[in-house]
Amino acid sequence: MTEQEALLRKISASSFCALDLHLYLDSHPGDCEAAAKLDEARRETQALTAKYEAAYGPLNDNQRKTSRWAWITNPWPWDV
Amino acid sequence: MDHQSVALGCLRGGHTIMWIYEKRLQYPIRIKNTDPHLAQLIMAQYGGPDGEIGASMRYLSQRYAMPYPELRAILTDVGTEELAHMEMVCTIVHQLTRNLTQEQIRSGGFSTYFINHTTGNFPCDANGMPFSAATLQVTGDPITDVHEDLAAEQKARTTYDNILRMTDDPDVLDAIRFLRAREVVHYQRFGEGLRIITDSLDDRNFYAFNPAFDTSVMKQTGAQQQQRTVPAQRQAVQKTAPAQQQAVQQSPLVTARTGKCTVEEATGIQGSFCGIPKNK
Repeated sequence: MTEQEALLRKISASSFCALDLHLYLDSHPGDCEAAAKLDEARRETQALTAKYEAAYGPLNDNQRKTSRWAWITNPWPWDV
Repeated sequence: MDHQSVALGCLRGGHTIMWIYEKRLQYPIRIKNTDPHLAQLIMAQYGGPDGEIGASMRYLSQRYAMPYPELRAILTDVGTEELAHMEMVCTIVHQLTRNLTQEQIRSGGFSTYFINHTTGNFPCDANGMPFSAATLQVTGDPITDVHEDLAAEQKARTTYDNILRMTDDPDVLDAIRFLRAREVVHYQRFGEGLRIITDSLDDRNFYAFNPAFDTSVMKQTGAQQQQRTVPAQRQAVQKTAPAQQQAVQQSPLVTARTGKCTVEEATGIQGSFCGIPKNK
C-alpha cells in the first residue's frame, strides 16, 4: 500500500465513523455522547483531508484553491 | 460523498452546497482478477429490482410527503449513502471487466451483455433488464413507505448474501460484505423510524389510516389527540431544526460527554424533535 492509499484509507475510516454517527443521531438526536464522538470524527476527517489534499490534490471541487488540472487528473475512484 | 455537507447543506468555501461529490469511494475497492460473469451477476445490485439506484430513488422521493423530522433526515441520509453504494457496485463491475480476453468476452454468459454495452456500465439487472422505477414505490403514507423501506433493505441484504455465495475472490467479498452490513444498519434506522411514527399514534389502531394525509381521522382518535396537536412553540422548533442541531453539536453540553442533553437544554427553546407530525 502506498502512502497515498494509506492516507485515503484513514480518511475513509474516520469519515465513515462520522457518517454512521450522523445517521444514528437522526433517530437519537438527544444522544450527547454520540454527538461528541461525531464532532471528534469530523475534526479528524477534516485534518486528514487537508493533509491529503495538500499532498495529492483535491478530493472535492469545493475547496477555494482547487486547481482545475488537479481535479480532472486520474485516477478517478473506480480506476484505482 | 461528503454526507455531512449533503445532509446539512453546510457552508463550504463561502457557498451553500447541496450534494457535492467527493473523489473517493465510501469503502476502498481494488479488484485484481477479471471475472465478467461475476460482474454480470453483481450488476443486479446496480440496476436490479433491489439495487442501489432503486434504493436511492425510493428514499429521496419518499421524503416530501414525510411529516416526521427524524424520518425526513433518515430518508435524506440513507438515500444519499445509497448513491455512494451505487458507485461502489459500479466500481466492482468495472474492475471485474477490465482487460477482458476474447475468450472471456465470448464465454460465461457475458456475451449477451457485451453485444449492446461492451464494457460500459448500463443500469440493468443480472438478466440485462433495464432499471425501472416500477421496482419501487412512493405511497405518500409514512407507515406504508417505511414498511417498503424495511423490506427493501432486507431484499438487498438477501441479494448480497447470494452474491457472496457466487465467488471466492477476496477483493470482491470484502466490498460486498461492507455493502451487506450497511443494509443491516439501514434496516435498524428505519425500524427506529417506524417506532417513532407509531409512538405518535393511537396505539389501539396504528395501521388503519395515513398519518400524513387523513388528519380528520387522526383527530377522532380521542385520547392521544392532545399529544399530536403541535403547539406554536413546537412548530417553531421544527422549522429551525437543522440550525438547532448544529447548536446542539457545538454546545458545551455535548462536549461534556456526560449524561443526556436535550434540544431544550442546549438551545433554551422548549420543544421536541420526537415524532410529532408537522401541521397537525
